[in-house]
Amino acid sequence: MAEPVTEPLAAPTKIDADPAPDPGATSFLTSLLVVVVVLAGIELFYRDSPIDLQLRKGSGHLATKELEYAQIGGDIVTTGNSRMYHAIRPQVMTDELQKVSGKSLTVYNFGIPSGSPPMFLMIADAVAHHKPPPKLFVLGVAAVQSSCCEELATAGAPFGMNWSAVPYFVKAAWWASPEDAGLAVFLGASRLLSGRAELLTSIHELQMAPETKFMDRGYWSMGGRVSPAQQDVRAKGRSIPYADAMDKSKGAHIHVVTHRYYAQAIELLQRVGTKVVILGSPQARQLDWYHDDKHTYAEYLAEMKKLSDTYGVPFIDMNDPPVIKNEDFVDGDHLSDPGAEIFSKYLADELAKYVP
Amino acid sequence: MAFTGYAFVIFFALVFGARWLLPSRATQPVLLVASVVFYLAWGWKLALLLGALTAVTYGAGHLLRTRTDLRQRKIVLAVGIVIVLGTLATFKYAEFFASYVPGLKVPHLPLPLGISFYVFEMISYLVDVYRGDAGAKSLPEFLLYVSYFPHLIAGPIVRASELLPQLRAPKPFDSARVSEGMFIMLTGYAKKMILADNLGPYADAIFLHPENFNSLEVLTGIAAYTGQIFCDFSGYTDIARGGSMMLGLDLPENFDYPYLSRSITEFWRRWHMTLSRWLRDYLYIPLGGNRGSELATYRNLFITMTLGGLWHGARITFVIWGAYHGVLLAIHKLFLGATKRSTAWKAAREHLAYDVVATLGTLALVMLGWVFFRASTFSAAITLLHRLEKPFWPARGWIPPKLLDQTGWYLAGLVALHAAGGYRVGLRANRGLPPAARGLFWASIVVVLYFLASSSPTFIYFYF
Repeated sequence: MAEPVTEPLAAPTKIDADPAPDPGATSFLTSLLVVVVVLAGIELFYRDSPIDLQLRKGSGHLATKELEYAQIGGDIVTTGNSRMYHAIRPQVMTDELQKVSGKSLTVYNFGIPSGSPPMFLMIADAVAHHKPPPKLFVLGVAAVQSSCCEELATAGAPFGMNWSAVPYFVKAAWWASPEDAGLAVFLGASRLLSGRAELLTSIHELQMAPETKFMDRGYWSMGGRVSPAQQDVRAKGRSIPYADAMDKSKGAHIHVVTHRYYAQAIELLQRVGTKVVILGSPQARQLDWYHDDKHTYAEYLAEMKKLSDTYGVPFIDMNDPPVIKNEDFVDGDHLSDPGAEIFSKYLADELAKYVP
Repeated sequence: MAFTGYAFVIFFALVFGARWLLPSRATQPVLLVASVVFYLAWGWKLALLLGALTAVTYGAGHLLRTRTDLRQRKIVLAVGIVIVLGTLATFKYAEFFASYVPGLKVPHLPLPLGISFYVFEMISYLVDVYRGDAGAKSLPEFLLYVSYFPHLIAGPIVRASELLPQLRAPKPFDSARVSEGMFIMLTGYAKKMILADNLGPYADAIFLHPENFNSLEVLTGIAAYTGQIFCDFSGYTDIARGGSMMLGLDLPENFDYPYLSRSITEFWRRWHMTLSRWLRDYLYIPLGGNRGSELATYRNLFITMTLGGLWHGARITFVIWGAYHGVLLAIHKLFLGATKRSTAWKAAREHLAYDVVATLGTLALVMLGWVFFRASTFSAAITLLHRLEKPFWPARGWIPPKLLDQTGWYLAGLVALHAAGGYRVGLRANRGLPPAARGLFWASIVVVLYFLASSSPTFIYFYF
């Protein structure tokens, strides 16, 4: 089949001459060493600069709460997504626990809007390294999180990842999501990488973001009650994306890696002697319609039960606590300020028996 | 495990360490294990399919090597090609062709990652062995040729005769080659993450709703896609080639700054060169190449390019894109033939102005082709082109959106990349610098990546 070069699809496959040989590794290793030294130097310089601290203060919830918690601590830490963020009023819980058990226990609300399982693992790591670690850690979970949102890349708040959490991330994700395991290593190793989005935004806007503030030890109020009609409309609107994300006919399924993040968080906390409670977070009744066989709700409950049995931690399902009514919510997920007060008291009563 | 993810950086560092720290006889096992792990990270079902096709192809190759009866060898070759090509057709084209048969419905199958590339390599292997090449000595060796992780997902399309000798006689560590590989890899990351991923969003917006944009914006969107597809694919290839070079194995070039081409023929010598080569050797020449009449040559070109378009995906727009290039190549060949003896044309071609006009003209034709390549349907492409009929400059009072402004800067970066790349400025600098300065050069590329990179977790050619 030998044929002269055939126009016009004759492509050369070698363009550049080979470089002059340079046997041995010295030259390459020198170049590589320079890269490592330069990048490590930039990282260390950045860590020592006030920029990093200032960015963390204004970077949103995770890094900011880590800073606040490092200063004030708490005997009980609650975490979860925005449901927990707007549901736990620390001072109300402290007062109620004093009343019920006679113990003076401080509470810190580590709830994160759009919080996801990887974030909860970051939080577990941050509080476990606090001296002293909390006595009790309340891991607030939501059904939808078992069938979505486990990717670290989409967690949205890598600023807050510490190197000490990396082994737990790798253990949780390496086989199911090597990408996330690899990402965790780099985010844990470099503050410049984990805070990249915040740093670039600050440079772009030529100013630092204002410090993020919380009303009471991590809590933020959703305000007073809204009218029943308004609550109803909002709740029904919110229920649709949840139901879609849990619809088995649309491919929804339980994401095992989510529960591995939970498991790693529990293991990490148990190692420092912190008791853990898994809490099914509260929601309004308009959201219940997807608690059927077509959705992953039953599987989620089964997984929580399994986690509870495996690690010997209680699972308290407060999807529908008796003291909470639809009118205590401002939508389907978030309690109003008065609703949060009722819920916090109720939760304190329930948790009293678990506090050492 | 995408090349742009951090997992790959760790994976590659481990493979690099194992490759050079272990004795050279461990090269094949190290690379084979690494390649299997790499593909398994995408899913075991994909790996199973790759394994099955590899076994079939190797078996057929073995029969081709050992049988002497020509008829039997022809049958083995045909059966082998039918099986691998049939698998590709089932996954990639069954639904497309069934859609043209009234009443016929076939289930939707996901496209296995890299199948278009490794099936072409398997076909080339079978044909080459049939033509007398020695082929692989063992199944693991053949598996490594097919699954070698730098080229597995999106090429370059490598021949067994290019890779197997390198695997059998591993080269010793050579700082110059490894350093060059490092630079090429970093260049690939810069192309992909700075240019392609920052040009992509604007192109996406324009192609999604062209009716919302004026002619200037649409033209910028087409230019953005022109830059995106080059930087995405050639960036991938650079990471693959550079990484492979760091492991001591050379992969063929795939791109040579194709937008500097002065004709469509030259463009196809610079764009996706290993596909062009494959199409030439395994389609165009078997069809007759340029050995017949002129008309037959044009026909062969047209068929080759149309099928080349179809290779990119089961969509009529890809077929149109391929056919369009087939026609352009035929016209250019006709033009060359007609002006071959003209002294006036010969003189004109040596003029700088000719180069400028020819380069811009070729680029315009290529950009027009990309409209059909990128548009989801033929009518969407036409709708977009209709937007260009409107006055070029937008109405008075129009304020350029921020994204257009950003895209303009990245397009300027694309021009700069071609200007520098055309003269191999980066490659020369990398070779000429002393080791410490070279390290600073690499570190500066990483710093630029930090500030400018956007990240899409995937590459366009993963879907082909």
